[in-house]
Order: sequence, then C-alpha cells, then structure tokens
Amino acid sequence: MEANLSIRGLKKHFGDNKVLDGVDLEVADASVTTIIGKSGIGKSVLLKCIAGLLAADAGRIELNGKPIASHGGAAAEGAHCFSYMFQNNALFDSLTAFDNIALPLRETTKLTAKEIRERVEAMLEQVELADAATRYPGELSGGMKKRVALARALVTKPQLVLFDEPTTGLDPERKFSVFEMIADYRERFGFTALLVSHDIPEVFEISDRVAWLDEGRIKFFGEPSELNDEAESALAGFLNKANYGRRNKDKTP
Amino acid sequence: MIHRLGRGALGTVRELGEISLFGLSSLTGFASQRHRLAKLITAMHEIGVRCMPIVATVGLFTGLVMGLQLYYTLVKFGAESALGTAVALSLIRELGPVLTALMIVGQSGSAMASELGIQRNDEQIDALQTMSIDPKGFLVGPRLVAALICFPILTAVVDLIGIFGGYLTGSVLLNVDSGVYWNRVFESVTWADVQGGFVKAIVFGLLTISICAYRGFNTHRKASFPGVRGVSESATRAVVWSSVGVLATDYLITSFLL
Repeated sequence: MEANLSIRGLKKHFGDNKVLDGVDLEVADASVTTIIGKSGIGKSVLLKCIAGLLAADAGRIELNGKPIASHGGAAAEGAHCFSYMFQNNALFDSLTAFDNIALPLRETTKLTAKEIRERVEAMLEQVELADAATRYPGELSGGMKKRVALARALVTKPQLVLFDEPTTGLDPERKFSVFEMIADYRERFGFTALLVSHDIPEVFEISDRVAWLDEGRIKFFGEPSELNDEAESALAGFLNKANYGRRNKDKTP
Repeated sequence: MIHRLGRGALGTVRELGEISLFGLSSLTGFASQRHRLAKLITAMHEIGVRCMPIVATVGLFTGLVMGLQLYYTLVKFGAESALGTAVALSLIRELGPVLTALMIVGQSGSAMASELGIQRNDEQIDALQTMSIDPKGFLVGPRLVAALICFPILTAVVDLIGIFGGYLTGSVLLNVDSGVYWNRVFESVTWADVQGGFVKAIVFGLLTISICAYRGFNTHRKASFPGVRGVSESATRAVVWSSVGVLATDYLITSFLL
C-alpha cells in the first residue's frame, strides 16, 4: 500500500512564537526522510501536527491525497494508517513488553486473541526480544525499550511511521543499531518513514531525503549527497556546527 | 481587586464546565471501548477493594467517637435511649457518604491524579491517541463507572460499621440497653434516608473522580508547574478541589432532600 505524505502551508504558533510558518514537504512512498534543524526549531511540533497531537493553525496534511485525519483508526484487519515512535518510547510501565506491543491490536482491531498473540510473537522475534516478552519496561535496557517501542509502532502494519528522535539518550553503538534497525525494517515492512534526528551525519546513512527546518519553513529538501553543495549557505553553518563538514572532509581521500 | 475576583470566578466556572464535559466524554468514550468488563474490574479493584480497609477503619472509629460524644450529650437531657437514632441518622444521611468520599479521594483520587499526570508527562496519553485509542474512554471512563458502583457500596460499609461502633461504645461500654439501641436504629431509619445517602454517594463519586482524573489528565496545561512539580501540583489540587466539592455538594443535596 502506498504512503505519500504531502504537507502544504502548515502553520503553528504558540502565542507570539511562530514555530511553523508555512511548511511545505513531500515525502515519497517507502522512503526515509529526515528532518534536521536546531533544537527548539519545531521539528517535533511538525511531527505532532502530522500525528494530530497538535492542531495546526493553517495548512493541509494529506496521506495519499486525503487529509490524514480522515484515515481514522485501525482497519478491521489490524492495519493503521500511521504510527508514532516517541522520543522517550512512551511505553506503559504497568504492561509487559508483550502487552505493550499487543495494546493497539487489542484495543482497535477485531483480531482474535490467537491472531494477536501470533502477530506479537512474530514481532518480538523480529526485534530479537522473544526472551523479554514478559518483562516490564523498567526491567529493560534503553536499547531494548527502543525495540519494544519500534515493535509497537510496526505491529499495526502502518503505511507511515513517524520517529521523534529515536536515538536520544543512546550511546554511539546503540544509535547505529537503532538506525540500522529502522533501515532494515523499512526494507522488510515497506513503510514510509519520517524521522526527526540530531545525529548528523549518522542519520544520513539511512535517509533517502533530508529536510532542513529553519525559521518555520523547510529551507532545504534533497538527497543527503546534495548537502555538500550547500557550502556557502546558512545550512552549511548549521552542518558545520553539527561537525558534518569536518567529518565529511575527513572521509574524502 | 474586583477585576481579579471576577477573573477568578469566571475561571472557576469555566473549569467546572470543562470538568463536567471531561467526565461526560470519558463516560461516552468508555461505551465504545473494547474489553469494558476487564477494565471495569481493574478500576473497581483500584477504587473499591483497595479503599475498603481504610474506609472500614474510618467507619468504625467514627461510630465509636459518635457513640461516646452523643451519649454524654444525650444523657444530660435524659435521652440516652435516642443514641441509636442519632448515630444511625447522622451516619446514613451525612457522615457516611461524606467520609467515604473524602477517604476515597485521599487514597485513590490522589493516586489517580498522580498516575495520569505521570502518563501525561511520559507521553503515554499521546501514545494512546496515536494508536487511535480514546485516552479518556480508556483511562478515565472505567474509573467513573467503577465510582458509580463502589461509592454507594463503600458508603453502606461505613454506615453499617459506624452504627456498630456506636453500639460498642453506647451499649457495651456505657450500658445503654442494646435492645433499645438497635430498636431505635431500625425504627428511625427510613428508606428515604438510605436513598438520600446513596444519591449523595453517587454524586460524590462522579464529582471526585472527574476532578481527580481531570487534574491528572491535564497536568501539562499548567505551564508554571512543569515536570514532577506539575504532577505533585495536580495531585494536591485534585484532593483539595474534590474535598471542597464534596462538602459544597453535600450542602446543596441536603437542602434539596430535606
């Protein structure tokens, strides 16, 4: 199933603070698009507007040509239009890993208990957490929690997955494995991914497109390789601060 | 000064309206939830079973103290035989529903406000929304329905244990004839008294659980109290508002019932 996300003229302000001031963005089906930008510039606000957690002041957000809100909840067969992976995982402390993953299926689909169990067990196998099914989030490591959150996001077979800084608080090795996991699962499940990340340049390894959010608008949108052409722009300044230019030069023979 | 008072009054009225709508949408949201019975049983355990020991203890000591105080007051008028009537009517009409509600607010209401506040701060409530699960129907609805069931039952427990406590001090310790005590209890209490007590219990249940859940659920809206302070602030305000609400509503209902 295709998942083309289109955002047109999206505006959101908090009091006098115009956080999003006419965001336009096209995310192609089955691609990984990463939104970069300074802290507090509105990247997470953009994701929350897409997910419907914040009401936009103006603009349109469409998935496959229809307003995203009209896609509604889960279909009878247990497929969601989109999923959201939160920065801090947002797992339910009082539920086991299994129950956390099963929650959206139990509450929003007509799948039988057996079907839910099979689907969750398969998902736990895929994220290599079969042994941790009965453990509570408090008993899991940071990386394991991320995988549970990812499994919960993917168990409803969403067309679009929104990742809000999925590697926050992880060491470099774990960051790399989370990115690998996203790329790997994108290949396997074929969803469209929209990421917010500060991990520059590591995140570019898995990104098909990069969008730079600055002053409430998308000021750069292109392939990661095109970032090297932005040597003189404000984007270059941002990337240099993020060590992108230096690390990229280091890589050049 | 007047401007501030007016703004405060308007804010309170607006908030009361919001709490009413919050409670209503939680109840309607619960109607469309799956596995309602399982959720209701969990909520009844939280509000009913876990509060039973404290509520029973409070009922017993209230009855004991009432027996003592009322005996020494009534004996001055030679009316100690009316002890059963005084204890039973005070408990069934007023103290039973009010004390039960205050105890449940202290035990379950504050915990509920804190739990929902933490879930709000941890984005668990947002997560439910992104999973197409109605957070109010899922988290608050079962607790409201459980309150409708548990508050009257716990009130009945307080009433019965309290009346027994009055018997212990009045008849066992202070030698009021036990036959007279129980006879006065059964003679004086009418079905209308019991009904009135249950009406109060149901109203207090809806009111307090709506206030506590609303406070916790909207922890993020208090920008001046971020993070953990917001959670503690929500729990404190939930208990204070609920307690004041119980006493104010008790006065209103009593004026209608008498």
